[in-house]
Amino acid sequence: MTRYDTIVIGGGPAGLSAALKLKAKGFDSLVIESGDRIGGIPLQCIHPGFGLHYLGEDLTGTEFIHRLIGMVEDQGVEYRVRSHVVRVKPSRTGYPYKRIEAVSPYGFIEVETPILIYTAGARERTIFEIGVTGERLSGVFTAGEAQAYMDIFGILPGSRIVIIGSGDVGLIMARRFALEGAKVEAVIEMMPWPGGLTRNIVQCLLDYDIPLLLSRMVVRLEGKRRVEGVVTVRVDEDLNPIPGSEELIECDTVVVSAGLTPNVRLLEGLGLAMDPSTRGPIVDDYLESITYQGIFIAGNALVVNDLVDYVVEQGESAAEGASILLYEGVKPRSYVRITKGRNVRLIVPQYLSCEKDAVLYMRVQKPEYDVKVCFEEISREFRYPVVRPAEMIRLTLRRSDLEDLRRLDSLTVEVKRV
Amino acid sequence: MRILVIGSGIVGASIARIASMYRDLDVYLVEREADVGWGASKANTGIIHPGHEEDPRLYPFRAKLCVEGNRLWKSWARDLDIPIKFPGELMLVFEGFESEARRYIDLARINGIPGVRLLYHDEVERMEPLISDEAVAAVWAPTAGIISPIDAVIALVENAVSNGIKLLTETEVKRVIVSDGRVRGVETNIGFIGADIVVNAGGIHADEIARTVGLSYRLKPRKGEYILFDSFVEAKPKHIIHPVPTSITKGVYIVETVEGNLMIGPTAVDLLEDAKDDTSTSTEGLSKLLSEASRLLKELPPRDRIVKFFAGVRPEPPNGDWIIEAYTDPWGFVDVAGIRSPGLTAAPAIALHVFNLIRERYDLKLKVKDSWNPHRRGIARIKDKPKQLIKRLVEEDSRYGSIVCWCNMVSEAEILEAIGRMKSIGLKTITLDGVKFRSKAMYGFCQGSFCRARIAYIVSKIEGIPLWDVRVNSTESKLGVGDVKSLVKGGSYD
Amino acid sequence: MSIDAVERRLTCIVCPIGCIVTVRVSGDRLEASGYLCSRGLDYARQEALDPRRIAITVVKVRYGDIPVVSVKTDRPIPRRFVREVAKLAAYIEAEAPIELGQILLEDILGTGANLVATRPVRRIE
Repeated sequence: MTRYDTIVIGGGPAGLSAALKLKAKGFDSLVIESGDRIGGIPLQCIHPGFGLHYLGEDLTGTEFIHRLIGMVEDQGVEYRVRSHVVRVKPSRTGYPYKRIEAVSPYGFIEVETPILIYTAGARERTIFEIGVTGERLSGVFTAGEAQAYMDIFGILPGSRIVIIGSGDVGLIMARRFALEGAKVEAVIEMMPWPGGLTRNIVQCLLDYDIPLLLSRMVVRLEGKRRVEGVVTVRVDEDLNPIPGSEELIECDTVVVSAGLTPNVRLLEGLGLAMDPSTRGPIVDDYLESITYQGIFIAGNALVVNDLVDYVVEQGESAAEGASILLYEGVKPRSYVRITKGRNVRLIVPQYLSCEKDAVLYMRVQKPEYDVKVCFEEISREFRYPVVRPAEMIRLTLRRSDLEDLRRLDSLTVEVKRV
Repeated sequence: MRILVIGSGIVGASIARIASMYRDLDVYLVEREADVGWGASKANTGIIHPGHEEDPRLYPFRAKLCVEGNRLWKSWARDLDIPIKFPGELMLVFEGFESEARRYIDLARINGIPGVRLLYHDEVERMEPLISDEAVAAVWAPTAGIISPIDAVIALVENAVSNGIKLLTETEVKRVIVSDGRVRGVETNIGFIGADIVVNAGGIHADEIARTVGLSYRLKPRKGEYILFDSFVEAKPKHIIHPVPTSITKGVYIVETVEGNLMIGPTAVDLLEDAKDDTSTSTEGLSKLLSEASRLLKELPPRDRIVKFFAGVRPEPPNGDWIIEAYTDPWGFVDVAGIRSPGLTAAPAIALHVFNLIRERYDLKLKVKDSWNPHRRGIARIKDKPKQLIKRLVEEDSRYGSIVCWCNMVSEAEILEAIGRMKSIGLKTITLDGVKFRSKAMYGFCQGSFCRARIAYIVSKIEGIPLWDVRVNSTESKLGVGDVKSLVKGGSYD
Repeated sequence: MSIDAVERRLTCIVCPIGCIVTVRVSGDRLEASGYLCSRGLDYARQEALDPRRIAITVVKVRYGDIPVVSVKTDRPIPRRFVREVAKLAAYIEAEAPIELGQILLEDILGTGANLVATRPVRRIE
């Protein structure tokens, strides 16, 4: 049985950055990737906006990930592609070893490790998950799928497009379709505010005169075999449909960009505690599961990020945590739980060890101007001119701030108006 | 002698399989869609009913053939390697409806169905801890089963084709041609096809075909919507659950499909006669399903575990009983129409019955082929297989190790096998839906958003067509509109 | 201010606040209001007088392990040329192997920017 210091499941930006960090610290790892090559989703992101923090340059997703792949090759990080993990289970050799089994065309892979770093990314929510009814038609794609068709496979999925959801991927695909000569009829957003970054609203929609319809949702697809239109309806403040506001928009293609969900099936099978607000595992500030020792989670499998730079940072944090466990055998195990207060939709990590500086990633429920993010128990606050659900807030709590907290068992975070 | 069967649903496919047993019979199975079983057969509950809901005084065919069909499926499924299981059924009884429950126990006795009995709440709860506290009792029917109807149709057709029948897809029958009181064949979109006997198993459209020989019954289209949940849910009963049908509501079924998903359905919505192909789902339908199902269980899985919803249209015959007849005027026209529930259960029995009817009515002297092979193997799947078996499969063919569909763990070898089988039964178009039904790829949580492109790419290579030309769910529906530059090159913008 | 002055409202994208800047352009004169900091004014001036973007699209590839290669202009170009780049890219074809950063077309549309590959493509025969 081959043993590694760590096994990384998922060879996207989170997994690769974790493996690189581990290598730098002198630990070996094996990256197991399902796809044909390492790199993950950025391999199909041909737009800029990647790497400003991590590499100090504004690169396209493809450029960014090939830089990272270059480092992986240079450092001799071991990886296997086209390898699909079938099972993770406690090893027969006993704790803390875990056995990982994967199938690949090159044979069955069985390896053992005390540390699993899980970076399997996220998947897109489907048309069914957002409750759109109607016939089962062709011409319906998720944004990422449409992206793969255009920019990897070189085909155009449709010519008259309606995009459901105004998240960044949807906005970017609206521009992508417009650039290749398709008519983007509308981007439809259920919330009263856009789901993507302002930059993308300006450069993807306004530049191309693409209408953004807010407070509207798609309720039904029309058509016989392929999509011929979508029926939309206006919604009130509580997101309830307003009777009589139905409107048909004709199109031959529907692109669903209704958000992502962490890909955590394997972890659910192992019984890891999950956070309903992130739909990912509950972790401490080393990004280790609070219910399963030796499993670290980073990137979109942990929480859906809007910048690849955060994904990479999480990969490195997980590697950091893993290396402490590998050096010391144990990690601090007393935690302070973070409680979500006013206008906080999610926060990761959910628990703090208070042993080190903690980087927190959070999202608000609704946009607000002139606010402060407050941690009352430690009298720390961070001012922001504006907070939006679309933009993840990243902040750091210093170890010195947290030291007194160890006597308490909970830390509250809330957004207050200044 | 040529027999032409119209419609490759579960009924037509079963009849074709029986017909494939005989020497000197030239059997055609004609289907308007690009693939088999795309009507009501692909979108129903998949229950193999015990037969205790069928009153032989009202519906003689349904009662007799349902009970026989339930028995026959055990051997048919074994011979044809169709996934099937018999978890048994709990028909939940709510306060005030005990007398209805007694009626089904009586019917079970009349129809000779073994093991049906009344269980009281405690006993029911021991068997199925998830059932609602409101259920005071249940009618237990141990012989109830679950099958994958589309798998069954595919298996039947593969077996029939391997025994010499000819499948003609994308062939729509416009009318049955009769002269001198005898059936001569059918007129289709691809021309005239001669036949001595025409079996009308045209599903919801059977009445339109029957009209061309002067029969005037009308089938009412009734739509049923379904919700399919993920297999990974906590609230998943082991048995088939449904309420005692009452005058107010027939209630919905809660089942675990053979793939392990939790499924709820169907609704019953009567459609206008010209809306026979309306398989659309609705917000109202989905809420109704969830509220009906929540009466039956203590809790339902969360809504974010819904994988998809879909609907099927079933034919409702005028008096509720099936229309099964071999006519002598015109000689050679056989109706197998209005096969509503429990048609799936009864299909093998219907096929045997219809064939006997044909033999007697038309005085056919038929001999079984020496070479008739009752067996067919399903596609070897690696999902949930033991490690040693996976290792062996990958060693034999490395494409078994190349996982294409990540959610449902389907390998490239299985995709290729599915495509190969579609070709071997004579399909003219390899649709992605056809690949999906056979391989179970694109069936998981992501609904193909990760793997559809790669599967379409495999199809395009095999078919020698551009990727955008690959068909999705019909002969008309293409995956894309052209290569990525096709519109800008045409200069169609601005 | 002359009567043919054009007034536009722009959303500043420099920081997350997203100021709505109202810009009036008349000849080479520009007036702006609604911004909170000087970066907003600079942004509005650039956007109103000479908006520029990095153009991205794909180019067909012969003998590649994938049929298209993603490309971008290696510097921002006037916004009005962005669609033209996608269109022009329809008429060129690259041949694998292609390296990351390889120039596929120089001085595209006279903008001074080159069209460069943003991913490598391996050659298959």
